[in-house]
Amino acid sequence: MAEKPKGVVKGLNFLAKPDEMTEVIPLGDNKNCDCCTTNLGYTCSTCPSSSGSSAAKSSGK
Amino acid sequence: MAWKTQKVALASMTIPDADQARYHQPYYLQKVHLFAKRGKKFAYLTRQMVALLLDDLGYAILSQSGPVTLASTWEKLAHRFSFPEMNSAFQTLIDWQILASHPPVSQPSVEEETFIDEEAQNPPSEIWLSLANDCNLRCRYCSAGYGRFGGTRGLMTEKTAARAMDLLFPEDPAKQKRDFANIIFVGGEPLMNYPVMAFAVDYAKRKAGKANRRISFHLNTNGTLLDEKFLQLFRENDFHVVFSIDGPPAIHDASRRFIDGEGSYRRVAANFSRFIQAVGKSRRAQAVLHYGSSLRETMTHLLDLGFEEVIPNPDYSSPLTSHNSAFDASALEEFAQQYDDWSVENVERILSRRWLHGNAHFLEDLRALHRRQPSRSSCGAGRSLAISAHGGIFPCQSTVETKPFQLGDLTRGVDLELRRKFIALIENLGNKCRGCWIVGACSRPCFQEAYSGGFLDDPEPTQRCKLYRSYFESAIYGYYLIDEAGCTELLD
Repeated sequence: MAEKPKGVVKGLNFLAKPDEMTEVIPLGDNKNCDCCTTNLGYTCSTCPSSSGSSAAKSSGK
Repeated sequence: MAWKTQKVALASMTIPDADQARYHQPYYLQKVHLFAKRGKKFAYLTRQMVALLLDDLGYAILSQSGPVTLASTWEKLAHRFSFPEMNSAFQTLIDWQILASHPPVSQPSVEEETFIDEEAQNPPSEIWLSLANDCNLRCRYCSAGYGRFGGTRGLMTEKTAARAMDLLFPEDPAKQKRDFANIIFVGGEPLMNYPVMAFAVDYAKRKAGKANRRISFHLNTNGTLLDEKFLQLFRENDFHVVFSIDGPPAIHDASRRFIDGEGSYRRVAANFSRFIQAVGKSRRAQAVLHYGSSLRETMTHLLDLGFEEVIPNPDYSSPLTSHNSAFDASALEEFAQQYDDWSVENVERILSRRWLHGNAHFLEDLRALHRRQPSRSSCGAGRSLAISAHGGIFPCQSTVETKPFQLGDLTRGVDLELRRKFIALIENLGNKCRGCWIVGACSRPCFQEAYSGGFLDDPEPTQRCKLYRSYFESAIYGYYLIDEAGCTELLD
Protein backbone atom coordinates (compact mmCIF):
# COMPACT_ATOMS: atom_id res chain seq x y z
CA MET A 1 0.00 0.00 0.00
CA ALA A 2 1.35 3.41 -0.99
CA GLU A 3 2.21 5.76 1.84
CA LYS A 4 -0.12 8.68 2.39
CA PRO A 5 1.37 11.96 1.11
CA LYS A 6 2.81 14.16 3.81
CA GLY A 7 2.39 17.86 4.45
CA VAL A 8 -1.34 18.37 3.96
CA VAL A 9 -3.76 16.12 5.80
CA LYS A 10 -6.77 17.29 3.84
CA GLY A 11 -8.57 20.18 2.20
CA LEU A 12 -11.35 21.17 4.57
CA ASN A 13 -13.63 23.07 2.23
CA PHE A 14 -12.20 21.79 -1.02
CA LEU A 15 -12.43 18.12 -1.75
CA ALA A 16 -11.43 18.02 -5.40
CA LYS A 17 -7.86 17.48 -6.54
CA PRO A 18 -5.48 20.36 -5.79
CA ASP A 19 -4.76 20.93 -9.46
CA GLU A 20 -8.46 21.70 -9.96
CA MET A 21 -8.32 24.48 -7.41
CA THR A 22 -8.99 27.87 -8.97
CA GLU A 23 -8.65 31.37 -7.62
CA VAL A 24 -12.00 32.67 -6.45
CA ILE A 25 -11.17 36.13 -5.21
CA PRO A 26 -10.72 38.75 -7.88
CA LEU A 27 -8.27 40.83 -5.89
CA GLY A 28 -7.99 43.37 -8.65
CA ASP A 29 -11.73 43.84 -8.96
CA ASN A 30 -13.71 45.67 -6.37
CA LYS A 31 -16.73 46.61 -8.40
CA ASN A 32 -18.94 43.61 -8.23
CA CYS A 33 -21.43 44.82 -5.68
CA ASP A 34 -23.04 48.06 -4.76
CA CYS A 35 -25.97 46.72 -2.88
CA CYS A 36 -24.27 44.82 -0.14
CA THR A 37 -21.88 46.63 2.09
CA THR A 38 -20.77 45.31 5.42
CA ASN A 39 -23.08 42.40 5.21
CA LEU A 40 -24.19 40.59 8.27
CA GLY A 41 -26.40 38.01 6.79
CA TYR A 42 -29.40 39.08 4.79
CA THR A 43 -29.83 37.33 1.50
CA CYS A 44 -29.36 39.33 -1.61
CA SER A 45 -29.46 36.68 -4.27
CA THR A 46 -28.78 39.01 -7.15
CA CYS A 47 -25.43 40.19 -5.97
CA PRO A 48 -22.71 37.90 -7.27
CA SER A 49 -20.25 38.46 -4.49
CA SER A 50 -22.35 38.64 -1.42
CA SER A 51 -25.07 36.92 0.46
CA GLY A 52 -26.77 39.94 1.85
CA SER A 53 -27.52 43.57 2.29
CA SER A 54 -25.86 45.79 4.79
CA ALA A 55 -28.89 46.33 6.92
CA ALA A 56 -27.72 44.81 10.12
CA LYS A 57 -24.69 46.95 10.59
CA SER A 58 -25.66 49.95 12.58
CA SER A 59 -23.79 52.03 14.99
CA GLY A 60 -25.56 53.06 18.08
CA LYS A 61 -28.51 50.69 18.30
CA MET B 1 22.27 12.57 19.07
CA ALA B 2 19.48 11.76 16.70
CA TRP B 3 20.12 14.91 14.69
CA LYS B 4 23.76 13.93 14.03
CA THR B 5 22.72 10.43 13.12
CA GLN B 6 20.29 11.84 10.57
CA LYS B 7 22.98 14.15 9.16
CA VAL B 8 25.25 11.22 8.65
CA ALA B 9 22.43 9.33 7.05
CA LEU B 10 21.90 12.25 4.66
CA ALA B 11 25.57 12.49 3.80
CA SER B 12 25.60 8.89 2.82
CA MET B 13 22.17 9.02 1.16
CA THR B 14 21.84 9.13 -2.56
CA ILE B 15 19.31 11.64 -3.78
CA PRO B 16 17.32 9.97 -6.55
CA ASP B 17 17.79 11.53 -9.98
CA ALA B 18 14.14 12.52 -10.07
CA ASP B 19 14.62 14.63 -6.92
CA GLN B 20 18.02 16.09 -7.76
CA ALA B 21 16.63 18.88 -9.93
CA ARG B 22 14.58 20.43 -7.17
CA TYR B 23 16.90 19.65 -4.25
CA HIS B 24 18.30 23.17 -4.43
CA GLN B 25 15.36 24.72 -6.26
CA PRO B 26 14.02 27.69 -4.27
CA TYR B 27 10.30 27.72 -3.57
CA TYR B 28 8.26 30.68 -2.43
CA LEU B 29 5.37 30.72 -0.01
CA GLN B 30 2.26 31.95 -1.82
CA LYS B 31 -0.51 34.08 -0.31
CA VAL B 32 -1.31 31.84 2.61
CA HIS B 33 -2.01 32.26 6.31
CA LEU B 34 -0.74 29.71 8.80
CA PHE B 35 -2.03 29.25 12.30
CA ALA B 36 -2.40 26.65 15.00
CA LYS B 37 -5.40 26.25 17.26
CA ARG B 38 -6.09 23.68 19.95
CA GLY B 39 -3.30 21.42 18.73
CA LYS B 40 -4.36 21.51 15.06
CA LYS B 41 -2.45 23.28 12.33
CA PHE B 42 -4.06 25.07 9.42
CA ALA B 43 -3.24 26.90 6.23
CA TYR B 44 -5.66 29.27 4.54
CA LEU B 45 -5.08 30.07 0.89
CA THR B 46 -6.39 33.57 0.43
CA ARG B 47 -6.97 33.69 -3.28
CA GLN B 48 -8.54 30.27 -3.47
CA MET B 49 -10.45 30.62 -0.18
CA VAL B 50 -9.33 27.12 0.71
CA ALA B 51 -8.60 25.96 4.25
CA LEU B 52 -6.24 23.04 4.71
CA LEU B 53 -5.46 20.87 7.69
CA LEU B 54 -1.68 20.44 7.85
CA ASP B 55 0.43 17.84 9.57
CA ASP B 56 3.40 18.82 11.71
CA LEU B 57 5.80 18.47 8.80
CA GLY B 58 3.78 20.67 6.43
CA TYR B 59 3.44 23.32 9.12
CA ALA B 60 7.16 23.19 9.92
CA ILE B 61 8.12 23.57 6.25
CA LEU B 62 5.79 26.51 5.73
CA SER B 63 6.85 28.22 8.95
CA GLN B 64 10.28 28.95 7.51
CA SER B 65 10.94 32.48 6.36
CA GLY B 66 12.07 33.46 2.88
CA PRO B 67 12.40 31.16 -0.11
CA VAL B 68 12.91 27.54 0.95
CA THR B 69 14.71 24.63 -0.67
CA LEU B 70 14.44 20.97 0.03
CA ALA B 71 18.11 21.06 0.97
CA SER B 72 17.79 23.89 3.49
CA THR B 73 14.64 22.38 4.95
CA TRP B 74 16.36 19.07 5.34
CA GLU B 75 19.15 20.84 7.18
CA LYS B 76 16.67 22.27 9.65
CA LEU B 77 14.25 19.42 10.10
CA ALA B 78 16.26 16.26 9.62
CA HIS B 79 16.14 15.59 13.35
CA ARG B 80 12.33 15.31 13.20
CA PHE B 81 11.46 13.88 9.80
CA SER B 82 12.88 11.47 7.23
CA PHE B 83 13.95 12.60 3.78
CA PRO B 84 11.23 10.63 1.96
CA GLU B 85 8.62 12.22 4.22
CA MET B 86 10.01 15.66 3.50
CA ASN B 87 10.19 15.02 -0.19
CA SER B 88 6.59 13.89 -0.19
CA ALA B 89 5.49 16.93 1.80
CA PHE B 90 7.26 19.31 -0.59
CA GLN B 91 5.44 17.78 -3.52
CA THR B 92 2.09 17.98 -1.72
CA LEU B 93 2.61 21.64 -0.86
CA ILE B 94 3.53 22.35 -4.48
CA ASP B 95 0.43 20.50 -5.67
CA TRP B 96 -1.71 22.60 -3.37
CA GLN B 97 -0.13 25.77 -4.82
CA ILE B 98 1.17 26.82 -1.42
CA LEU B 99 4.76 26.61 -2.57
CA ALA B 100 5.66 27.78 -6.06
CA SER B 101 8.83 28.43 -7.99
CA HIS B 102 7.96 32.12 -8.28
CA PRO B 103 7.27 34.76 -5.61
CA PRO B 104 3.60 35.56 -4.96
CA VAL B 105 2.17 37.88 -7.58
CA SER B 106 1.15 41.22 -6.17
CA GLN B 107 -2.12 42.60 -7.41
CA PRO B 108 -2.36 46.09 -8.86
CA SER B 109 -4.30 48.70 -6.95
CA VAL B 110 -7.74 49.66 -8.08
CA GLU B 111 -7.40 53.02 -9.76
CA GLU B 112 -9.96 52.71 -12.45
CA GLU B 113 -11.26 56.23 -12.79
CA THR B 114 -13.75 55.18 -15.42
CA PHE B 115 -15.57 52.72 -13.23
CA ILE B 116 -15.56 55.14 -10.32
CA ASP B 117 -17.10 57.80 -12.56
CA GLU B 118 -19.75 55.33 -13.61
CA GLU B 119 -20.45 54.30 -10.02
CA ALA B 120 -20.91 57.93 -9.05
CA GLN B 121 -23.46 58.42 -11.83
CA ASN B 122 -25.47 55.31 -11.01
CA PRO B 123 -28.52 55.70 -8.80
CA PRO B 124 -28.17 53.80 -5.53
CA SER B 125 -29.81 50.40 -5.22
CA GLU B 126 -29.76 50.59 -1.45
CA ILE B 127 -30.96 53.44 0.71
CA TRP B 128 -30.90 53.89 4.46
CA LEU B 129 -33.77 56.01 5.73
CA SER B 130 -33.38 57.68 9.11
CA LEU B 131 -37.06 57.90 9.88
CA ALA B 132 -36.35 59.58 13.20
CA ASN B 133 -33.51 61.77 14.32
CA ASP B 134 -34.59 60.87 17.81
CA CYS B 135 -34.83 57.90 20.11
CA ASN B 136 -36.92 56.85 23.10
CA LEU B 137 -33.91 55.19 24.77
CA ARG B 138 -30.80 56.65 26.31
CA CYS B 139 -28.29 53.84 25.78
CA ARG B 140 -25.09 54.83 27.47
CA TYR B 141 -22.90 53.77 24.52
CA CYS B 142 -25.02 55.35 21.80
CA SER B 143 -22.83 56.59 18.96
CA ALA B 144 -25.70 58.43 17.32
CA GLY B 145 -26.16 61.02 20.06
CA TYR B 146 -29.48 59.41 21.04
CA GLY B 147 -30.55 59.53 17.44
CA ARG B 148 -29.75 63.19 16.90
CA PHE B 149 -26.26 62.67 15.46
CA GLY B 150 -25.17 65.85 17.18
CA GLY B 151 -27.95 67.81 15.44
CA THR B 152 -31.57 68.55 16.14
CA ARG B 153 -34.40 66.13 16.88
CA GLY B 154 -36.93 65.49 14.16
CA LEU B 155 -39.02 62.97 12.29
CA MET B 156 -38.80 62.39 8.55
CA THR B 157 -41.79 63.69 6.59
CA GLU B 158 -43.65 61.85 3.84
CA LYS B 159 -42.34 64.38 1.35
CA THR B 160 -38.73 63.63 2.31
CA ALA B 161 -39.35 59.88 2.20
CA ALA B 162 -40.90 60.18 -1.27
CA ARG B 163 -37.93 62.16 -2.55
CA ALA B 164 -35.58 59.54 -1.13
CA MET B 165 -37.53 56.80 -2.90
CA ASP B 166 -37.28 58.81 -6.11
CA LEU B 167 -33.48 58.58 -5.81
CA LEU B 168 -33.82 54.82 -5.63
CA PHE B 169 -36.31 54.66 -8.49
CA PRO B 170 -35.43 57.35 -11.04
CA GLU B 171 -38.07 58.22 -13.63
CA ASP B 172 -35.72 57.37 -16.50
CA PRO B 173 -35.93 53.56 -16.86
CA ALA B 174 -32.46 53.53 -18.44
CA LYS B 175 -31.01 54.66 -15.11
CA GLN B 176 -32.58 51.76 -13.21
CA LYS B 177 -29.70 49.39 -13.74
CA ARG B 178 -30.45 46.93 -10.95
CA ASP B 179 -33.48 44.68 -10.85
CA PHE B 180 -33.71 44.97 -7.08
CA ALA B 181 -33.69 47.64 -4.39
CA ASN B 182 -33.03 47.52 -0.64
CA ILE B 183 -34.59 49.93 1.79
CA ILE B 184 -33.29 49.98 5.34
CA PHE B 185 -35.24 51.81 8.02
CA VAL B 186 -33.04 53.16 10.77
CA GLY B 187 -32.87 56.02 13.24
CA GLY B 188 -32.56 57.02 15.98
CA GLU B 189 -35.48 54.72 16.56
CA PRO B 190 -37.43 54.19 13.31
CA LEU B 191 -40.52 52.83 15.10
CA MET B 192 -41.12 56.38 16.36
CA ASN B 193 -42.40 57.19 12.89
CA TYR B 194 -44.98 54.63 11.81
CA PRO B 195 -46.91 56.86 9.37
CA VAL B 196 -43.84 57.59 7.25
CA MET B 197 -42.60 53.99 7.39
CA ALA B 198 -45.97 52.78 6.11
CA PHE B 199 -46.03 55.54 3.51
CA ALA B 200 -42.50 54.72 2.32
CA VAL B 201 -43.31 51.02 2.01
CA ASP B 202 -46.40 51.72 -0.04
CA TYR B 203 -44.66 54.35 -2.19
CA ALA B 204 -41.64 52.13 -2.82
CA LYS B 205 -43.78 49.13 -3.72
CA ARG B 206 -45.67 51.13 -6.31
CA LYS B 207 -42.43 52.47 -7.78
CA ALA B 208 -40.81 49.04 -7.79
CA GLY B 209 -43.84 47.50 -9.43
CA LYS B 210 -43.85 50.12 -12.15
CA ALA B 211 -40.13 49.54 -12.79
CA ASN B 212 -40.50 45.78 -12.48
CA ARG B 213 -37.84 45.63 -9.75
CA ARG B 214 -37.74 43.46 -6.66
CA ILE B 215 -37.64 45.24 -3.35
CA SER B 216 -36.72 44.21 0.17
CA PHE B 217 -37.31 46.02 3.43
CA HIS B 218 -35.01 45.94 6.41
CA LEU B 219 -35.25 47.44 9.85
CA ASN B 220 -32.94 47.98 12.80
CA THR B 221 -34.93 48.67 15.96
CA ASN B 222 -34.74 48.68 19.73
CA GLY B 223 -38.09 46.88 19.63
CA THR B 224 -39.70 48.75 22.49
CA LEU B 225 -42.37 50.48 20.40
CA LEU B 226 -43.45 47.42 18.46
CA ASP B 227 -47.22 47.04 18.27
CA GLU B 228 -49.85 45.32 16.17
CA LYS B 229 -49.75 47.78 13.28
CA PHE B 230 -46.00 47.28 12.88
CA LEU B 231 -46.34 43.51 13.10
CA GLN B 232 -48.90 43.60 10.33
CA LEU B 233 -46.66 45.83 8.19
CA PHE B 234 -43.68 43.48 8.70
CA ARG B 235 -45.72 40.37 8.00
CA GLU B 236 -47.30 41.71 4.84
CA ASN B 237 -44.07 43.11 3.43
CA ASP B 238 -41.60 40.41 4.38
CA PHE B 239 -39.48 42.68 6.56
CA HIS B 240 -36.03 41.63 7.74
CA VAL B 241 -35.88 42.86 11.32
CA VAL B 242 -32.86 43.16 13.61
CA PHE B 243 -33.58 43.76 17.28
CA SER B 244 -31.03 45.51 19.44
CA ILE B 245 -30.84 43.58 22.67
CA ASP B 246 -27.71 43.11 24.71
CA GLY B 247 -28.40 39.89 26.62
CA PRO B 248 -29.92 38.97 29.99
CA PRO B 249 -31.93 41.64 31.87
CA ALA B 250 -29.12 42.83 34.12
CA ILE B 251 -26.70 43.30 31.21
CA HIS B 252 -29.25 44.82 28.86
CA ASP B 253 -30.76 47.18 31.42
CA ALA B 254 -27.37 48.41 32.56
CA SER B 255 -27.07 50.25 29.25
CA ARG B 256 -30.34 50.30 27.38
CA ARG B 257 -32.66 52.46 29.40
CA PHE B 258 -35.64 54.67 28.74
CA ILE B 259 -35.35 58.39 29.29
CA ASP B 260 -36.66 57.98 32.85
CA GLY B 261 -33.85 55.54 33.62
CA GLU B 262 -35.96 52.38 33.57
CA GLY B 263 -34.43 49.39 31.83
CA SER B 264 -35.97 48.36 28.52
CA TYR B 265 -35.37 44.58 28.63
CA ARG B 266 -38.83 43.55 29.78
CA ARG B 267 -40.49 45.53 27.00
CA VAL B 268 -38.25 44.38 24.15
CA ALA B 269 -38.30 40.74 25.25
CA ALA B 270 -42.11 40.77 25.42
CA ASN B 271 -42.33 42.45 22.02
CA PHE B 272 -39.90 39.97 20.48
CA SER B 273 -42.12 37.19 21.75
CA ARG B 274 -45.06 38.82 19.95
CA PHE B 275 -42.89 39.19 16.85
CA ILE B 276 -42.15 35.44 16.88
CA GLN B 277 -45.84 34.69 17.07
CA ALA B 278 -46.89 37.17 14.41
CA VAL B 279 -44.01 37.15 11.94
CA GLY B 280 -41.75 34.26 12.88
CA LYS B 281 -39.00 34.55 10.33
CA SER B 282 -35.81 36.61 10.37
CA ARG B 283 -35.25 36.39 14.10
CA ARG B 284 -32.05 38.35 14.38
CA ALA B 285 -30.55 40.34 17.21
CA GLN B 286 -27.56 42.54 17.52
CA ALA B 287 -25.94 42.82 20.88
CA VAL B 288 -23.39 45.31 22.09
CA LEU B 289 -20.88 43.65 24.40
CA HIS B 290 -19.31 45.73 27.13
CA TYR B 291 -15.91 45.40 28.62
CA GLY B 292 -16.06 42.73 31.29
CA SER B 293 -19.27 41.13 30.04
CA SER B 294 -19.55 37.49 28.99
CA LEU B 295 -20.12 36.72 25.34
CA ARG B 296 -21.19 33.21 26.25
CA GLU B 297 -23.83 34.47 28.66
CA THR B 298 -25.19 36.91 26.08
CA MET B 299 -25.25 34.42 23.22
CA THR B 300 -26.82 31.64 25.26
CA HIS B 301 -29.51 33.90 26.62
CA LEU B 302 -30.50 35.40 23.28
CA LEU B 303 -30.52 32.09 21.42
CA ASP B 304 -32.62 30.55 24.18
CA LEU B 305 -34.97 33.52 23.88
CA GLY B 306 -35.68 32.46 20.30
CA PHE B 307 -33.25 34.42 18.13
CA GLU B 308 -31.78 32.43 15.26
CA GLU B 309 -28.75 34.63 14.77
CA VAL B 310 -27.08 37.12 17.05
CA ILE B 311 -24.60 39.74 15.89
CA PRO B 312 -22.22 40.40 18.78
CA ASN B 313 -20.34 43.65 18.55
CA PRO B 314 -17.84 44.87 21.10
CA ASP B 315 -18.54 48.32 22.39
CA TYR B 316 -16.14 50.48 20.48
CA SER B 317 -15.67 53.90 21.95
CA SER B 318 -18.28 56.43 21.00
CA PRO B 319 -17.45 60.01 20.13
CA LEU B 320 -20.85 61.36 21.13
CA THR B 321 -21.29 59.89 24.58
CA SER B 322 -19.00 59.26 27.47
CA HIS B 323 -18.89 55.97 29.30
CA ASN B 324 -16.24 53.63 30.57
CA SER B 325 -17.20 50.24 29.17
CA ALA B 326 -15.58 50.56 25.74
CA PHE B 327 -12.98 48.02 24.67
CA ASP B 328 -9.35 48.99 24.42
CA ALA B 329 -6.80 46.94 22.46
CA SER B 330 -6.08 44.43 25.23
CA ALA B 331 -9.76 44.05 26.03
CA LEU B 332 -10.43 43.29 22.37
CA GLU B 333 -7.89 40.49 22.52
CA GLU B 334 -9.77 39.08 25.47
CA PHE B 335 -13.01 39.45 23.53
CA ALA B 336 -11.49 37.57 20.59
CA GLN B 337 -10.65 34.72 22.98
CA GLN B 338 -14.22 34.66 24.25
CA TYR B 339 -15.41 34.65 20.65
CA ASP B 340 -13.15 31.71 19.85
CA ASP B 341 -14.29 29.74 22.89
CA TRP B 342 -17.93 30.40 22.04
CA SER B 343 -17.32 29.26 18.44
CA VAL B 344 -16.54 25.75 19.68
CA GLU B 345 -19.68 25.78 21.80
CA ASN B 346 -21.63 27.17 18.85
CA VAL B 347 -20.52 24.23 16.70
CA GLU B 348 -21.59 21.81 19.44
CA ARG B 349 -25.01 23.48 19.46
CA ILE B 350 -25.27 23.29 15.69
CA LEU B 351 -24.29 19.64 15.61
CA SER B 352 -26.52 18.56 18.46
CA ARG B 353 -29.59 20.34 17.04
CA ARG B 354 -28.63 19.87 13.38
CA TRP B 355 -29.63 23.49 12.79
CA LEU B 356 -27.42 26.35 11.66
CA HIS B 357 -27.88 29.06 14.25
CA GLY B 358 -25.80 31.16 16.60
CA ASN B 359 -23.24 33.89 16.13
CA ALA B 360 -24.06 35.70 12.87
CA HIS B 361 -20.43 36.66 12.16
CA PHE B 362 -19.32 33.07 12.70
CA LEU B 363 -22.10 31.61 10.55
CA GLU B 364 -21.36 34.07 7.78
CA ASP B 365 -17.71 33.05 7.76
CA LEU B 366 -18.63 29.35 7.80
CA ARG B 367 -20.92 29.86 4.82
CA ALA B 368 -18.24 31.84 2.99
CA LEU B 369 -15.75 29.02 3.54
CA HIS B 370 -18.22 26.39 2.49
CA ARG B 371 -19.19 28.17 -0.72
CA ARG B 372 -15.72 29.53 -1.31
CA GLN B 373 -17.40 32.83 -2.01
CA PRO B 374 -16.72 36.18 -0.39
CA SER B 375 -19.37 36.83 2.22
CA ARG B 376 -18.82 40.38 3.22
CA SER B 377 -18.25 42.53 0.20
CA SER B 378 -16.51 45.84 0.24
CA CYS B 379 -17.86 48.91 1.95
CA GLY B 380 -20.72 50.28 -0.12
CA ALA B 381 -20.69 53.74 1.43
CA GLY B 382 -21.31 56.29 -1.30
CA ARG B 383 -22.69 53.73 -3.70
CA SER B 384 -25.49 53.19 -1.22
CA LEU B 385 -26.83 56.39 0.29
CA ALA B 386 -28.19 57.30 3.71
CA ILE B 387 -30.89 59.93 4.08
CA SER B 388 -31.21 61.84 7.34
CA ALA B 389 -34.60 62.69 8.78
CA HIS B 390 -34.02 66.25 7.61
CA GLY B 391 -33.30 65.21 4.03
CA GLY B 392 -29.51 65.35 4.04
CA ILE B 393 -27.76 62.83 1.78
CA PHE B 394 -24.78 60.97 3.25
CA PRO B 395 -22.58 58.05 2.13
CA CYS B 396 -23.73 55.65 4.86
CA GLN B 397 -25.63 55.47 8.10
CA SER B 398 -22.44 55.90 10.11
CA THR B 399 -21.77 59.27 8.51
CA VAL B 400 -25.28 60.74 8.83
CA GLU B 401 -25.10 64.39 9.88
CA THR B 402 -21.30 64.39 9.57
CA LYS B 403 -21.07 67.57 7.54
CA PRO B 404 -17.68 66.98 5.85
CA PHE B 405 -19.15 63.94 4.16
CA GLN B 406 -22.55 65.27 3.20
CA LEU B 407 -23.12 64.54 -0.49
CA GLY B 408 -26.10 66.80 -0.94
CA ASP B 409 -29.70 67.04 0.10
CA LEU B 410 -32.99 65.92 -1.33
CA THR B 411 -33.86 69.42 -2.54
CA ARG B 412 -30.73 69.94 -4.62
CA GLY B 413 -29.87 66.30 -5.24
CA VAL B 414 -26.59 64.40 -5.03
CA ASP B 415 -23.38 66.30 -5.78
CA LEU B 416 -21.90 63.83 -8.26
CA GLU B 417 -18.38 65.16 -7.95
CA LEU B 418 -18.45 64.78 -4.15
CA ARG B 419 -19.88 61.29 -4.56
CA ARG B 420 -17.17 60.38 -7.05
CA LYS B 421 -14.49 61.63 -4.66
CA PHE B 422 -15.99 59.65 -1.82
CA ILE B 423 -16.19 56.41 -3.78
CA ALA B 424 -12.55 56.94 -4.83
CA LEU B 425 -11.68 57.43 -1.14
CA ILE B 426 -13.36 54.10 -0.29
CA GLU B 427 -11.51 52.36 -3.11
CA ASN B 428 -8.24 53.77 -1.88
CA LEU B 429 -9.05 52.54 1.60
CA GLY B 430 -9.78 49.09 0.18
CA ASN B 431 -6.42 49.09 -1.55
CA LYS B 432 -4.79 48.99 1.86
CA CYS B 433 -6.36 45.57 2.39
CA ARG B 434 -4.69 43.92 -0.55
CA GLY B 435 -1.97 42.35 1.56
CA CYS B 436 -4.35 41.07 4.20
CA TRP B 437 -4.92 37.33 4.33
CA ILE B 438 -8.68 37.54 4.76
CA VAL B 439 -9.29 40.01 1.95
CA GLY B 440 -12.36 38.76 0.18
CA ALA B 441 -13.88 37.32 3.32
CA CYS B 442 -14.05 40.69 5.02
CA SER B 443 -16.05 43.88 4.63
CA ARG B 444 -12.83 45.89 4.50
CA PRO B 445 -12.47 48.81 6.87
CA CYS B 446 -15.56 50.63 7.96
CA PHE B 447 -15.07 54.08 6.52
CA GLN B 448 -16.42 55.86 9.56
CA GLU B 449 -14.13 53.90 11.86
CA ALA B 450 -11.16 54.52 9.59
CA TYR B 451 -11.95 58.23 9.53
CA SER B 452 -12.51 58.65 13.25
CA GLY B 453 -9.60 56.36 14.10
CA GLY B 454 -7.13 58.06 11.79
CA PHE B 455 -6.74 54.95 9.64
CA LEU B 456 -7.17 56.90 6.42
CA ASP B 457 -3.53 57.95 6.68
CA ASP B 458 -2.32 54.98 8.67
CA PRO B 459 -1.07 51.80 7.03
CA GLU B 460 -1.59 49.77 10.18
CA PRO B 461 -4.74 47.70 10.48
CA THR B 462 -7.55 48.87 12.70
CA GLN B 463 -8.63 47.03 15.81
CA ARG B 464 -11.56 45.72 13.82
CA CYS B 465 -9.16 44.28 11.23
CA LYS B 466 -7.38 42.33 13.96
CA LEU B 467 -10.68 41.15 15.34
CA TYR B 468 -11.99 40.00 11.95
CA ARG B 469 -8.81 38.03 11.32
CA SER B 470 -9.26 36.32 14.64
CA TYR B 471 -12.93 35.67 13.82
CA PHE B 472 -11.95 33.98 10.58
CA GLU B 473 -9.43 31.70 12.27
CA SER B 474 -12.24 30.67 14.63
CA ALA B 475 -14.43 29.94 11.61
CA ILE B 476 -11.76 27.78 9.97
CA TYR B 477 -11.41 25.79 13.16
CA GLY B 478 -15.21 25.57 13.42
CA TYR B 479 -15.36 24.30 9.86
CA TYR B 480 -12.80 21.67 10.76
CA LEU B 481 -14.99 20.49 13.66
CA ILE B 482 -18.08 20.33 11.43
CA ASP B 483 -16.12 18.45 8.79
CA GLU B 484 -14.81 16.00 11.38
CA ALA B 485 -18.41 15.33 12.42
CA GLY B 486 -19.30 14.72 8.77
CA CYS B 487 -21.95 17.44 8.85
CA THR B 488 -20.83 20.04 6.30
CA GLU B 489 -24.12 19.50 4.47
CA LEU B 490 -25.66 21.70 7.19
CA LEU B 491 -23.92 24.58 5.43
CA ASP B 492 -25.39 23.83 1.99
